[in-house]
Amino acid sequence: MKLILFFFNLFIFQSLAIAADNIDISHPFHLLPYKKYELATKLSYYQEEHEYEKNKIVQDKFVYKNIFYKINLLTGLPEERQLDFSMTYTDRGRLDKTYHPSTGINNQSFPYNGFYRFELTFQEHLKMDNSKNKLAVEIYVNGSPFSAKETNNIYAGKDIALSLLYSHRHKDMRIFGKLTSKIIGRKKIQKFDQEKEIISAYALFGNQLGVQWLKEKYWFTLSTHFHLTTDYTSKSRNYNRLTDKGFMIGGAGAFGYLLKPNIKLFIEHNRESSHFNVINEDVNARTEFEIETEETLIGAAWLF
Amino acid sequence: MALLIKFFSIFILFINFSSANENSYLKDVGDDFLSPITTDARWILIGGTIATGMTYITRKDIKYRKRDSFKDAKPLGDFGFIGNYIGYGILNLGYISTQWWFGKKHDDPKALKAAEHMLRATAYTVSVTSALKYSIKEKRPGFPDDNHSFPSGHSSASFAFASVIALQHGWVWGGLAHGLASFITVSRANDDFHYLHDITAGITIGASFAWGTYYNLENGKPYWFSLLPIPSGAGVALGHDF
Repeated sequence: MKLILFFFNLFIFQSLAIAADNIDISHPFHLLPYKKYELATKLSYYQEEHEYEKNKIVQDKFVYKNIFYKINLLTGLPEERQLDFSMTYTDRGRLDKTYHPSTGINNQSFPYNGFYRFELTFQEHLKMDNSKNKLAVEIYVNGSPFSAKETNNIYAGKDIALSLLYSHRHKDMRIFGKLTSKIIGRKKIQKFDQEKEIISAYALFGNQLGVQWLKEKYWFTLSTHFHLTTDYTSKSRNYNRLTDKGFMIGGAGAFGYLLKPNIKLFIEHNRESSHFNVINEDVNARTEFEIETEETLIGAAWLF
Repeated sequence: MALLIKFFSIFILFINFSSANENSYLKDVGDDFLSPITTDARWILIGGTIATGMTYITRKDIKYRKRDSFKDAKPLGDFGFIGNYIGYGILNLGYISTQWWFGKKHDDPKALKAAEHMLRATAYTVSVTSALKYSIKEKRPGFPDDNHSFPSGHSSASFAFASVIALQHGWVWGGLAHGLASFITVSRANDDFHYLHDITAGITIGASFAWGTYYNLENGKPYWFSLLPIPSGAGVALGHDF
């Protein structure tokens, strides 16, 4: 039923759209003129896996699977600035937690759904001498005012990021990138057994680099990103995971189609893998602690 | 910290002294030292300082490891040593030498200009990086017997190199140079020589001085290297007004 509503909204908003002039809607960080808006809806299938392995034996593994519904509104502001506000909702979520028998913890499995998080992004675009180049500064915050539990999987903590966005167009190709410094805020999650898990704040710094191939009505995008992280620590009654550094690596592929000059459809697949260096295990224990995510989404955006 | 205060006190006296004489060579040196603040390079300095602060404040009070990281947590695996060796300023010195030689041999002022830009950017970057290393004395994450962790000299020198390449030869070569600088920088965290905030601070210092000295040279600051006509062709002189 929700899927039907999503595609019904696509049809309704198409008729409300008004053409916006000279906006390259295919650009990953296009700038909207003052008093112009862009409304986007996205539907995605998301998986996240946390795995802790010692001497090639999986000690515990948590797998999250859910559907995300996301809606965001991009607003053009004066002096080449814009603001983007979004909300994400989780549906049909399932968390499966499996433990090695030696841990003495029983496996658990339960559903979750509900509101996920808010996101707010502010961009200021800098004036460039060459129209083929774009440069912008971005401030991003996200979070949720509600308490995070395993049974609702609300995004715990508040994050803040400062980024430099850049792009260069050469004929039918565009190279773009994003240099980011981000703080992932402290997370406090109430687990299924009422115990609390606390993940301390940590930071990451790195770059995303991508390329687009542009045709008249459609485009392909490939990108990769790499970030170094500071210490990720997770504490609960059952375990302490202490790390002192890590890295994230990922990539994405997307296809976009211009239905009309002010309406685009897109499909995207992205994956990310994070690895952290555990320091509270013996050096001979061959410990691996990783978090992997995978998302496939479809969406549409309208300029008006 | 006392050494840092002494260093900056002497530096401020030097700047005041050099600014007294309009045509002073010392004034050019002072202007270049201040270029990350007085030119548009300040935005790199501001952004980099914020990024360094963000990566520092989340650091926990974890005792130093004095052991290798687990292999799974090393993005470059066992190949980090490559970044360690080439990041010792070999790229910077190699570029200065080849551009200076080419400029002298082919009477090319553009090559001499590029060599001088790299020399200036590297000299100021290394000076500030060394001063901070010996005054702040932060211990390295994997080698706590060594207290020269902040900031990363490999990161500052390699990003000074990459920024000069981009400014002198365009962003195709600059992009490749930044890729190489990123490899060198990541290798420092890979092999446990530096924390993330050491790396971001090093990147900030190197890029700020490369861009700052570039703006000074483009705005008419006199060059140290110049071509001199001589009966048999041309020579290169290092000179200043007095």
